[in-house]
This record gives sequence, C-alpha cells and structure tokens, in this order.
Amino acid sequence: MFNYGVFRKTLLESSWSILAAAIGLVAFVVLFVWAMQHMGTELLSFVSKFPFLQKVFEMSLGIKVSGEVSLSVLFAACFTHLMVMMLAWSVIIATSTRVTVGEVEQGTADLLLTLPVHRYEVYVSTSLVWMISATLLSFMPLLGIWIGTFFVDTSEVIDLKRYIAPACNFLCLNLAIGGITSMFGCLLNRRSVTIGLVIAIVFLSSVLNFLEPFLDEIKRIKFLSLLSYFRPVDIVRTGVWPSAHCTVLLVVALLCWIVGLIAFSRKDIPTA
Amino acid sequence: MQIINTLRLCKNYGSHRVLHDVDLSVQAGKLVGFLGPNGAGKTTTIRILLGLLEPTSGTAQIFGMSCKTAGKAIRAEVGYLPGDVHFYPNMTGEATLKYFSRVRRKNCDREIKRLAERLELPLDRSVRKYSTGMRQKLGLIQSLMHRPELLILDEPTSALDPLMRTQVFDELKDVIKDGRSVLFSSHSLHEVEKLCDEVIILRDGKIVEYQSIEVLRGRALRRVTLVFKQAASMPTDVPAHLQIIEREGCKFVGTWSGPIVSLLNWVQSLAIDDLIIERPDLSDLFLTYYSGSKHEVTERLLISEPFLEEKCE
Repeated sequence: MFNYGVFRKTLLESSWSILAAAIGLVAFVVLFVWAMQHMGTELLSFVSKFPFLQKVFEMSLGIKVSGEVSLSVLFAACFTHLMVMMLAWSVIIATSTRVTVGEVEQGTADLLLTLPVHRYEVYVSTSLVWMISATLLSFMPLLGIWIGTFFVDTSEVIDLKRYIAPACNFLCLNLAIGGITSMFGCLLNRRSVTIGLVIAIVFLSSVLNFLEPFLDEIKRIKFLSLLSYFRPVDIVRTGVWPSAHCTVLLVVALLCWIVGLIAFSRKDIPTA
Repeated sequence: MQIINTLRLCKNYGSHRVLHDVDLSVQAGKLVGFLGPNGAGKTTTIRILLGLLEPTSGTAQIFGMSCKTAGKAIRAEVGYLPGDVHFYPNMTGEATLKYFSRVRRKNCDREIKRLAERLELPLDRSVRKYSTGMRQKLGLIQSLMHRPELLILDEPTSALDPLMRTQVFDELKDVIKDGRSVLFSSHSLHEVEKLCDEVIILRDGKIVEYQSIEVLRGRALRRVTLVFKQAASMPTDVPAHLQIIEREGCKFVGTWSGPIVSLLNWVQSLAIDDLIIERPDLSDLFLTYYSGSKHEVTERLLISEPFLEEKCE
C-alpha cells in the first residue's frame, strides 16, 4: 500500500515549503490577533454604519456585526482570512500535484512508474505527504492564536479549546481541496491546468458564498460551494461541533481521492 | 524460453490506430534490435510492455506474466531506459540512483560504483549540471544497476561519443553472456547490425520483419550499383526486382530481389561503365522495407523467399 522511498523523497522535497507556510501562518495569525485586539471593535462599529459593508463582512468573515462580538469570536475569523487560506492551499495544491501530474509532465514518471512499485503505492505515498501537510497547516492558526494571546491585554479569558473545532473544520476543508486536486491531477496531464481548475473551483465557491445574501437564486445552489461547509466563527460563537459540515467535506475528500486513485492506476502515461 | 510475448497487440489514440496486431516473441538470452522510423510504434510497444500504456486489445507478456496484472513483479526484473530520459534536476547523480534503489528495495551500491567507473560518470554532481550525454549515462546506470533479466533500451547511445558507445556495447555483450536479454530500439542501423542477434522492423504499427541478422543478410537481396556511361543512357523503366535506393548523376544504387541471371540479362542491354553486386547492409534492407507501399513491401518479401529456396537447391 505504501512505498517508503517515494514517501521520503516527496516529504523531503516538500518540507521546506510546508515549513515556510507553517511559519507564515503562525506569524500572520499572531499579527491578526494583535490587530483584532487593537482595532477589531472600532472596525466593527465602523462597518455597522453601512448595511452593504455589514453583509460583505458577514459573508467574508462570518461575523454578525449587529450583535455583540467578543474577542474570542473575532480571533476565530483568522481561519477565514484570505491569507491563511492562500498559504495553506498553495502548499496542499503544490504537494498533491507534485508526483501524479508533476512527474508525468516533467517526464520522470517514465522512470518512477517502471520501477517495481504499484501505481496505487505511489499515489498513497504521495497522498500521505499532502495529508500530513494539510493536518499541520490546519492547526497552525491555533498555534498562532495561542502565541498571539501572550501579546494581548484583555480581561476576556481566551479558551484555546474553543478553536479546536474550527481547526478540525479547516482540516476537513483542506482535505477536500487536496482530494479534488489529486483527482484532477490524475485525470489531466498538465500541472498548470490542474492547478488552474482547482483555483477556479475555489474561486467559484467563494463567489457563491459571497453572493448568497444578495441573491435568493444562489441559496438553492449554495450547497455546491465548499466554503459553505466552513463556518469557524459560528462554531466559536455557538460552541457546536460542525459534524454535518465536516462529514460533507470528508465525503467529498474521500470520493475525489478514490476517483483519483482509480484514474491514476489506469491512466496512460504520455511521453513528456 | 520466451521472454517477451505479445499477441495481436493493438493500440488506438482516439480513432487513430498506432499498433496493428503486433505479434512478438523474443527468446531469452538474445540481443534484439527494434527498428523503425519515428511514429512506427516502437515506443508505444515498449510502453505497453512496461505498463505505462494499456493496449486497446491484445495481450502482452514478459517472463510469461501479463504486463497488465503482474506489472510489479515484471518490473523488478526489467531495466528500462526511455528515449528521452528525464531526471530530478535538483538531485545529484548519486542521490538519484540511491532513490531508485530505495524504491526498488534493493541495495545496488556495488553495481552503481562499477558502472559509474566503466561509463566515467561523476555521481557527485547535480543532474542539472549534467550534459545530455551524462544524463544518458545516468539513465543507463539506473537501467543496469539491479542486474535485470531483461533490458529495454530506447535509443541508449544517441548522445554518447564513439568511445563511450563501445563501452556500452561491451556492457550489453556482457549482459548477453550472463544469459540475460536486451531489446534495443535504435535509429542507428549500423549499431543494430554490429550488436544485435535479431532484428524486428516495424512500419506503420505493423511488424514487417523479424529475423536474425544472418538470415536477413542471406536473403536473395543484393546491393547493386550501376554506373552508366552518360546520364542519357540511364533507363527510365527498371525491372520489378530492382528497388532504387539512390540515384545520383550517372549512378543507380538499389537492391535486387530476383535471380542474378535476370539482372545480368537486363544489364547486358544497357550502356554501363561499371556494375557492382554486393551483399546488402542493414540500411539497404531497412530502406527496402520503408520505401513503397505496404503492398509492395509484402510482395517483395514474398518474392525473396522462393528465390532463397531456388538458390539453396
């Protein structure tokens, strides 16, 4: 099921980018926490004066500006920040396309796949690497919040356990992104096309998510948006585990991963 | 023992068929040349044997095992060098070979050292800094390092200098001495003629010839050079047995596939300065198979066989 040689090489080659993204994520979240403590309340009172901005804010960060917003809830918004998502997804997408489509495009698959190794072993070994990176990066915002609280002067007690559920929800979202990328990577022979397609899916998801409060028609197809299953601020506010959302994301991840596995096992490897 | 066996192997790319009912049967311990111009289907056949492509229909077996279902077991005993070999540019030669050994789960250090010395390849440099020839040497080492039972080499010497080619040929001869087998795809007819025991010639996805070099040379074909007194005396019509390969000034070069008596009778009626009749080299045979329509090729092959019998009598 697993080839140590392929796993080791993929992990070593990806380790620098995973490490850089992890450090970047922690640093950004620390800054975010600091900024929210100093400017969060003022920002919310400013936004509350403009109904349109209020809706935009609600959809992009998931924060209901009209109600009372605690610092803990504001901190949870870091999970939905574009920078956090971009850092995590860029590594996951790069890692999950490295072997399946990257080596086919580069021509090295001709050597790798003529070694005594099953294609599913290659797929599983490289999938483990992007899954490890997805897990690590999903919990980095949690570490950032924890470090950030050392620089925060507040009477409110920041309970880190409240952020475990959003981090798990983020992990499920990242696994879904990785699964989708793996699937397209196995169906296509060009890495750039694969990455472009995944970016388009994520972008369409964000557009659906963003337009939902403005257009009733969007509500009917909202379920198609991956981001509609990722609500970290609501999770922190209500304290309810997002079991249904996580299940949907995990099912998407698993289905896409299996389709990718079947496609990779059967695909014709073209010459580079 | 048959080491490679294919039965009615076909491969389509969309509606275009690139392999037509290819039946191959390569015996163990042989060095077999695989000839054909670009697009003839050599690489497609090789890639099907290695499990990189799935055949549209037909079966392919190596060591008596199906290439489709027993790929891993087959590949453990096969060494492959692709025609256009690509490596990981950031790794050194040594790290690359160690990686392949690790994936193979086999310690090949001793063989790597021996081959690197024989092919004079410095393994401590990054692959990015390797020349094309050095990359080809690295490819050869990775295909040989685990001492495979079958070597499949797709144009292995195209980027090597003549001295290094000799080293590679010697290494391949050693492989054959060990009782192992080599399938050697090449554009260089001279190389194949010098090195191989048998030749497979592929044209438009079909095998047009699969014979030992000796049998091919022994065929009724003769290389004929005719030098005319003047260009005006050169005939416009030539007998069906004569296949013109080259026409230059007052000279014809071609292959003759019929009885020699017929050739001499025809030549008597011409105003010639010189006539040379030789045994053909492989390039003549190859060009014979590749010029003209497929029908003509089949016809030529059919013509040559009875004459061979006639000659033996």
